[in-house]
Amino acid sequence: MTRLTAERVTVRRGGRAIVDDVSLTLESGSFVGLLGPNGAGKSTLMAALVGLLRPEEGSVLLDGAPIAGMDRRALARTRAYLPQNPRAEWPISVERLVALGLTPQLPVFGPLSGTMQAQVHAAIAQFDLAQHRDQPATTLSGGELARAMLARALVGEPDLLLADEPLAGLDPRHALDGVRRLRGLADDGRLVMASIHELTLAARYTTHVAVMLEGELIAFGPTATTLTSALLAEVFEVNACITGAGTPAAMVDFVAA
Amino acid sequence: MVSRIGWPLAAAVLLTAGILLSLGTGRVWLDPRALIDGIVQPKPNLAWLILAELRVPRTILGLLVGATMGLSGAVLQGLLRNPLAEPGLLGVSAGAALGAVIAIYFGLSAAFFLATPLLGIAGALLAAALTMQLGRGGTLTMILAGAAVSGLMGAGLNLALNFAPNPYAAYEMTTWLLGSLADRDWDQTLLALPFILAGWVCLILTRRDLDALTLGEAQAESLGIDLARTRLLALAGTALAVGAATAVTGAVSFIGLMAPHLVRPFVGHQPSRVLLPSALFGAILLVFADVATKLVPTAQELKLGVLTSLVGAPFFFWLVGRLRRMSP
Amino acid sequence: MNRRTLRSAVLAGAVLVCLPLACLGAARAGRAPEPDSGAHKPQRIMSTNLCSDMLLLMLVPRERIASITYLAHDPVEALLPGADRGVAINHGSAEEVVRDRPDLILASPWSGATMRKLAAQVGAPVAEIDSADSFADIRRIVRQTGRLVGEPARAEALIAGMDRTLARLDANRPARAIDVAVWDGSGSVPGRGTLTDAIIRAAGARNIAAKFPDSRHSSYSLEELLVARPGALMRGTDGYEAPSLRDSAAEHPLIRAAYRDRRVTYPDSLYSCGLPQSADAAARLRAALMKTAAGKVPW
Repeated sequence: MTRLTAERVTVRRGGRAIVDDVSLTLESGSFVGLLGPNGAGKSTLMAALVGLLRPEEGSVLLDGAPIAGMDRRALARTRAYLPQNPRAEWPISVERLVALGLTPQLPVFGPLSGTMQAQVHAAIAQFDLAQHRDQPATTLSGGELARAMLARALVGEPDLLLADEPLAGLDPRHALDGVRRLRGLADDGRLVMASIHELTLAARYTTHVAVMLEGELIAFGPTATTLTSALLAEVFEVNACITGAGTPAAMVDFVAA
Repeated sequence: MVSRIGWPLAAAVLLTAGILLSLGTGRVWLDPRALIDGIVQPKPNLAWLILAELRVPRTILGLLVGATMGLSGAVLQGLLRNPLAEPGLLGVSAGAALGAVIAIYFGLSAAFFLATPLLGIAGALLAAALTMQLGRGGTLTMILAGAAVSGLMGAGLNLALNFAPNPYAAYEMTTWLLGSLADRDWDQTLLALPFILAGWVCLILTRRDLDALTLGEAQAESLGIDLARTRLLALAGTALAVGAATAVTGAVSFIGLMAPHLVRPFVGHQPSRVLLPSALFGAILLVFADVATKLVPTAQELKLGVLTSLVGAPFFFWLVGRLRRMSP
Repeated sequence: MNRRTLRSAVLAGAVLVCLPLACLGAARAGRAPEPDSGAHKPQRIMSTNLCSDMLLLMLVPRERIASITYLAHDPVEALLPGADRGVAINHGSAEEVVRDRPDLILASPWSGATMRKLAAQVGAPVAEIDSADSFADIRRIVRQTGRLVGEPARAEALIAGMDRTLARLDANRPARAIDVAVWDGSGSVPGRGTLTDAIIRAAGARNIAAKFPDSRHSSYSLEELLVARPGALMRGTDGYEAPSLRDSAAEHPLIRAAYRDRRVTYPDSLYSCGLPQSADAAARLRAALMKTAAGKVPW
């Protein structure tokens, strides 16, 4: 059982609070959709939750221990993070890209061990990348790259995965595939958090939603009870109609207010 | 195309050929048999002196400097994820030359024997830090910052040489800006060696971090990489190795740019796997360039940088053209 | 670049820079009156050439010298101590031509036709003095300068003194000529047709660089020097003992070890400027070479 807790986290930029006094607790087995309009502070909160960014006030705790004081590599072995639009800077093969996810497990010198090789192959198979194994990662399509990055993030078997807009730029089929995989990870007992703009996908597949507006966390709870038409109207300033939130048949429709 | 297994063989053959050519050629032609006789005959004899006191140190210096350029180019390109990064283009070489010039012409090296490498390293460090500070924000910004820092360091070099107490200093400008291995001795080579090796160690320690940086800074950091440490190691390693090397030979351009690109396709582009081959090919390129300076029949010695630039500048054009096609 | 061409280039550059300014001064100074004491003996002579500086100091009293170059002081101290006391200096600039109002300018051939024309408008004839590459050149130049400054008899006396020294040197030539080379690390070695070569020959030694007929100043690497194996090395002392890169080649450990007792120094000014004292330089070189180690260098 893993528990990630934000305690009154505040992040300021140029005197303005980008993340304002946010407290929440995430537990393994849940897939938390982080919702909110552009500029609400979702990416900043996520960077603080994974420990890349130290909040001005408050703290982030992993199983009760502040992550600010944790060993970098130990932390990297338990939580994975995918930033917005991750990409490969060099045309390395998909296999090597996925293997980079094992960086925190690697000894200082020496190559990947046999077990690690097996882990890489398993991750490649799990994300249906076998036929792309030797392809340069820079030549993958958007959907393939998203899967390769997920494989990279999960090859080290982390307990937590935080992904910033993992569905951005994906066509409906790949977006659907992606969000299902994230839900599957949560069902396997991991803690998954992803910022998502596709409200219908969020309504169908997330177990919980956290909703941000202007830096504040204005709602957090199980999707079925939290994601309401009133909330969407308040947050996105649209007239929304939502049915069946928290079920695979959920629908979200909206028109301009 | 050389196969992925074939490149170490190719490197070994080229390196051996380069070393033999470097030992076998000079402003004076000596029959290879005479050179070998010189080794076994009673010393001192002419062939032995030329070989042991002139050509061997020159060859070793060439290998050290070339490997330094290739290695630091590969690390800088990996760190900045910028295919145009190299000590010369980032102004590091010019900064090192400036430091060395101040040490030599103003009598500091006469007063303290480590002054030349130390000031070369300080100059390299200053230039590298300045470029990296100014150039954050993309490939082009970094190159522009490098050009500005190069210009500044070049101006400082010019100023220092013109203010130097020795009026002939200004005529040695070309050596500092274009580099030369001519008439260097064992003492100078051995003085630079420990600093160069320390620099290599720092540079090689970044290898895992460079791999992780393939995913960008945020992912690398999330994978447990301490980017501040990585930058420090790369900066210190470049400054130590390039600074000490440049303090002996002057600024040698383009080797650090070419070597990583030449080897990258053969090792699958993974930054950590580029380092060693890039150092090897840097050494090979430099030794061959130096052999060419000895073989081109000019009245005055041709500077090393003339040849590396003749090959390197067209390569640079090609690289810029390729980048323009690839970027949106 | 060797020392002489370096200095010439410095001066020529200085002279060229000043041309536009000379133009400005031309209108006002163009019809300057001739000096009262007659055209034969110029009274305000300006030299813009280091070699002319020293010749001038030997030929005319200080009162008749308007200015000499800023480079002259150190060589003058070595050659004619105190001779330039109270003499103004110039940097070859147009302002200084206007300031000094000379009635004769001694310049080097590098100053160019334009400069001569403009200076003539200011009212100062420009005399171009060649550089000397031989003792015959020295005789010619000393005579030319003597005539220009109105002191032909003094010039002849200087030449006679030089010729006496040369005759004495020639009469007592050493039995065996030592092979020598100038080696200062600049990579440029004076060969056949240079004043340095003439001085070496007058001293009774053999300049190994004279074997290369194609250029007066050959480029030499350490390897070539080792192969040529001169019995002694010469290095100019230029008063600039501050360190430079050339030292590392000139003082290569190999050279230091093999030529410890086989090195002679010479005053640069007497080798770069053809002067009557260049014959004394040859005498001094012979004496210095006598003291170097005998036998062959050890390889």
